[in-house]
Amino acid sequence: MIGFTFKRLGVSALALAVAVVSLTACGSTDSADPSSSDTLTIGYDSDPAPQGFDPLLYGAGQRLFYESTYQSLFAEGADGQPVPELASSFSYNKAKTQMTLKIRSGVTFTDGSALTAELVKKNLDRRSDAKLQAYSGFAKGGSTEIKNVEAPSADTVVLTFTAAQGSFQTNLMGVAGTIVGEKAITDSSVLTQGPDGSGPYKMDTSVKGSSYTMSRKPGTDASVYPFQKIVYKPYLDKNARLNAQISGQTDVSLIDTSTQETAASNGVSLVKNGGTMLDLLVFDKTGATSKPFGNKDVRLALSYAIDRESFVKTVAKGAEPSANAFPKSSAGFDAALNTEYAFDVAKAKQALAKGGYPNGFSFTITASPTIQASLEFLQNQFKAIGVDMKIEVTTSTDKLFAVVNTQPLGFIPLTMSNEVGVTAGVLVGGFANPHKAQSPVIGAALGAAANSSGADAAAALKKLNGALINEGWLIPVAEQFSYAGYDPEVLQAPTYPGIDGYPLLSSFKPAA
Amino acid sequence: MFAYLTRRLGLGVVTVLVASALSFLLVHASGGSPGAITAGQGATAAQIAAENVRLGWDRPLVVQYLSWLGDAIRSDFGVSLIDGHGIWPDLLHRIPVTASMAIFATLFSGILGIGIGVAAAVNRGRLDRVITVASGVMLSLPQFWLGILLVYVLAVKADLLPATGYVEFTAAPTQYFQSLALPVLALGLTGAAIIARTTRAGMVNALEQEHIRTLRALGTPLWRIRYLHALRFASAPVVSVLGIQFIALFGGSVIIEQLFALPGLGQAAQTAIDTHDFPSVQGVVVIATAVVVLTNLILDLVLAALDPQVRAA
Repeated sequence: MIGFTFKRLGVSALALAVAVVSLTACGSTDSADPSSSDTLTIGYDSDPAPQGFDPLLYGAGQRLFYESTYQSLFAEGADGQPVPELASSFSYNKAKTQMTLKIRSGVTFTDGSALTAELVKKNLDRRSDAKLQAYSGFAKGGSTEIKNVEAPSADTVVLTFTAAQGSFQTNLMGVAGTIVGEKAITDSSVLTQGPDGSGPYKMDTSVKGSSYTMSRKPGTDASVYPFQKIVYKPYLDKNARLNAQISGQTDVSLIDTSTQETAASNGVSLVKNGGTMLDLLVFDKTGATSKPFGNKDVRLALSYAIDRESFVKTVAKGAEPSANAFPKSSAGFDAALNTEYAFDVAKAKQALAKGGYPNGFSFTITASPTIQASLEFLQNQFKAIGVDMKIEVTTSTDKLFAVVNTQPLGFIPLTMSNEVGVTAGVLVGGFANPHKAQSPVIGAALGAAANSSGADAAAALKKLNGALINEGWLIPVAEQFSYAGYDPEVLQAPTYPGIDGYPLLSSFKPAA
Repeated sequence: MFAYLTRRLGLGVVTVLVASALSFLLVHASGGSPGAITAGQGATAAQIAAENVRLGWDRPLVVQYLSWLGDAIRSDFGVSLIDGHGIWPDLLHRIPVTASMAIFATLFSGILGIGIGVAAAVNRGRLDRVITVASGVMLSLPQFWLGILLVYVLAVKADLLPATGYVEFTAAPTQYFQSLALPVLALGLTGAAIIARTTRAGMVNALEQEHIRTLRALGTPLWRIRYLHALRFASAPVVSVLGIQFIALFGGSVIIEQLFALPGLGQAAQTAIDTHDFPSVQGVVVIATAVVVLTNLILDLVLAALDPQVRAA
């Protein structure tokens, strides 16, 4: 009878084995997700279209996705600098308070509408819509505010600013300068179904949060966009994204810093670029929610109190310690700031005393669970100088948004792909300055940087970097690197534009 | 039987209603407002208030709930605050993913677990000890860890199965099964260990029953005694555990869905909660509750068929 039972078990095992073999018999994972030479499969680190397909709803992180279906007034060049795309040329008036854009002809959108100066005006007139976060760079009240947009002729658009601008084209580069078609402007619900752009690809199919398939439009230059199809696959879990890349389900993936060593050890080729700063953003520079933060010396004391080297070794492996507002590869990077704000408890205590808080103080910081470990590290550092930072962890996005108005500090990675734009749109005129604090030093430096061009730009950026740090509006801790893992049998090494954290779509070329 | 079924169905409907009301109240009690989501990050208080009025958030709770319930009965769960898409069509895409995973994992754990459990019960020696220890080890392994291990071995190293993703059955049947193989193994192996333990205990108890001894004395073939009489006697707790497993898999496989990048209900629930997408949260809760109620109903019917005493209870 025992034999009979084993026989039964054997049959069960055989049945299971047959099932597994039949599942695997049809080939390896490649057959499950074909990736032929004319199809590029990209493993994305987030759902690129969680709120629909209006690119203006998003920030720089979604640029790589929207580059396929949209074009911008200025594209990001290989060096990260703006290159006219839908604008054919541009010029400033003498006072640099007006920018005139000449618009390209013969451009059509998915909905069949054509690019006109009037359409560009209609697009930019949406800038007061609070939902369109890509427009925050030139929002009302900011130093790079667009006061007015006019379309005096079919191919001319004139932007009028509230203050002089020297390099406003950087603000119209990438997602912020993207133009959506006429139909989408008239009825924004069109963009919940699919993109309405003039980009090199059109969307064929989409499974929300799972895959977005694009096919190249007829007439698109195949030497610039060599792949016939592009499939974007969002993998929210960094390990799932890594597994998909290692096993060949994706041709190229955005690899998380914490998994890059595993990727490399499993044969994934990697390219990297800096540009994302791990910053303590001082929301409250006026003391409205926490009086000590209204004092510059107190803010600087916190900066002196951070052992950035240990921070990187302990909780941010793969990053580089930095006290700079801008990344290492930025023209505005200043090595002297790293020395000036090196870890020094005595100096921190001195600054705290100078600010009127020799015995320290306490405050609360709210953050998502993903950065809890980083905050706990900083909590211990601040404790050493008598500052008690209470940590409140929440998964509520609503709450994370809300605390910007009620708490003095936040810990947020900031991608500095456009130094002037981010400073104007986030730090000075954006969500990181809810109490509308003003600093003549930062204001002047920002104005000069926005107004500078050519050889003067680097010096102006350096000055802006120093102003942000020395005024204590920003307390950088480290610079994080972005990694892209790719299969060298399918692709050549992709390249990053300037200090952008995402490769350019046009940099994906088939392996020779 | 008809009265029993009617009673159970009525109770099921009440359960879904209570769960929907509770989820509705909890969503309202959780703070925040839908207007803050739809108006955008840079919206003013006035813009947020106007959005809340547009969305009906200013109306009395009872009115809001009854309005929502009326729509939900007509399969209209409203639209997502985040992307403006209908919630029901989105759930309709996601339910098959989670249901496939839960059904196959339950079947897999049932077949494997019952087979191993019976083998352990009828071979009370070395094999029993091996199975008991092995199932104990398997029970202690977290499903996500097992998932990571399976991906590493079978997908990354051996390249036998896809590491991630879901393919619809209608698109490519073979790839559908391939895409489910690893998640089902990850979920089903620990489930099989529980079933094996339950089956073994039930079979050991059944084989010691008076009527089984009588059947033996009458010379009934051993396979009939074991697989018809004893297994049926032992099956009630096994069926209950399988039902509970199915419910748990349907509502709680978030980590496995993330690990294998499966666009199922677990992922939808997590995203909805993270983004405070109130109508989507309610939609997922109602679907999950309905599945629990339906599964329990089927479970009760199966148990009633297995044991007439249950029907009389």
